[in-house]
Amino acid sequence: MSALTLEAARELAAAYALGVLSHEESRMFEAVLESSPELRLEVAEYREVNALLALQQQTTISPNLKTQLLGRVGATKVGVLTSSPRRPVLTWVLSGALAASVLVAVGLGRRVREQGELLTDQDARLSAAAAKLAGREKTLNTILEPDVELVQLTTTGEAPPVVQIFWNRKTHSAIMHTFRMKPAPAGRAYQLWFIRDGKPVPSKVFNPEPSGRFLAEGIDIPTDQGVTGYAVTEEPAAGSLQPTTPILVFGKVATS
Amino acid sequence: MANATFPSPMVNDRALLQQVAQGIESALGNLYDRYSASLYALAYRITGERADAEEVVLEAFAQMWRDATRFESERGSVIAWLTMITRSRALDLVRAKGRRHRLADSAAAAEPEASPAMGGWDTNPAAAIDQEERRRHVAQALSELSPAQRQAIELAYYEGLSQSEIAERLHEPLGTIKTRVRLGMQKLRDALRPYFAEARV
Repeated sequence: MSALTLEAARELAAAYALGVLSHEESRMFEAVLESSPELRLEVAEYREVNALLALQQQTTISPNLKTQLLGRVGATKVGVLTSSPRRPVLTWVLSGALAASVLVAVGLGRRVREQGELLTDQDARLSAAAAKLAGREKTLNTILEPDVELVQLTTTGEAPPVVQIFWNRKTHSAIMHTFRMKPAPAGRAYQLWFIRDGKPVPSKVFNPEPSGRFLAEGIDIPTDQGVTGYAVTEEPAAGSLQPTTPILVFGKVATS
Repeated sequence: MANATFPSPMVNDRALLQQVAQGIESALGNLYDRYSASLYALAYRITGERADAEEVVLEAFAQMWRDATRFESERGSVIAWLTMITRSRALDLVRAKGRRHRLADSAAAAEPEASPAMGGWDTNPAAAIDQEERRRHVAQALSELSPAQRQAIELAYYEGLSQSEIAERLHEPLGTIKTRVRLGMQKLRDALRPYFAEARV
């Protein structure tokens, strides 16, 4: 393959910034990039686009993560300090021993404190993980009970959202699990309805995570008499007494 | 020129990065407060796992801590650099785990969405509002792409697919995909230029 012209390289700048060029294309592009400030500017602009695209989705981040980060970099800080500019030799001679001992004491104290915080944080995460696991096991046991039936709510189209209702008629309760369901718009939420005697009865209001998943247990289904199906609509965040938008997904209950 | 309504945070970012290069942890904390939420959301979108996304964000900021002296301003802003590191680490992690999260409906996923939580709202409301405004402009710019352009860019951005892989995935000629990526990114660049972290033009 022959070398790229600047014009041809410019056409690849966006793809290069996205990292989607082939190895060979990247190599040729970089050969032009090396000698072209204009092309470097163009790539830099596309990298700004990449940075802005990251703003598209936001979600809640663990407040402990910052502590972990500072703990992690604290562990490497000795290396940073040793790379700082050299002090005059005389200064070291006069104050070296004292400064070193103070630095060691302060450094050790902080390291101990930071490591302590890190351990506390890790303990908390471990406890949270154990509690989550126990919750998952309980959910699994509930779903596996013999009286539970699965109602799957979906719609047409490629890779549509799906809501699964694990309904226990005997205990009048259900577990709901969603996937491929994007979060509702601002100020809105999704609402589950069960259809009884042809009329919608309001139930759980929910909003999936950015991954499209949501799990809710202990949904109260007061009766199984006359319940013929389940549906989900988009509603105000507080929910509605009657559906105000078209049905997004629907599933019929198997007649026994 | 940067849009007057959305003042560029660039000067502060660079000053903070210089402090990071000197080993000042509070500067790292400030940059973390400013950008961790959106970087975490990006990592989460790519990896699909909270724990993985957290590890990616930690690693990205730790790399910034280690490599701050090697930052090249000519290659973009601090946040552009951080985004590149985060995205690269997240995609590497997914590849290493052999997972490929196929976008369920890439065109629909790019529709303007609600903002469930504005990053840094509690620590820096002004920056959070600024960021939210930027987010809305990005959503608007994305909505003005054709669905096919949006889909191609999302497959590249979130799944790290090469143009050949995108062509294969979508059963389209490679040339068509290249055109979609190029024109789509050009439209985004032109629409979003006023909101770049550092105005360059």
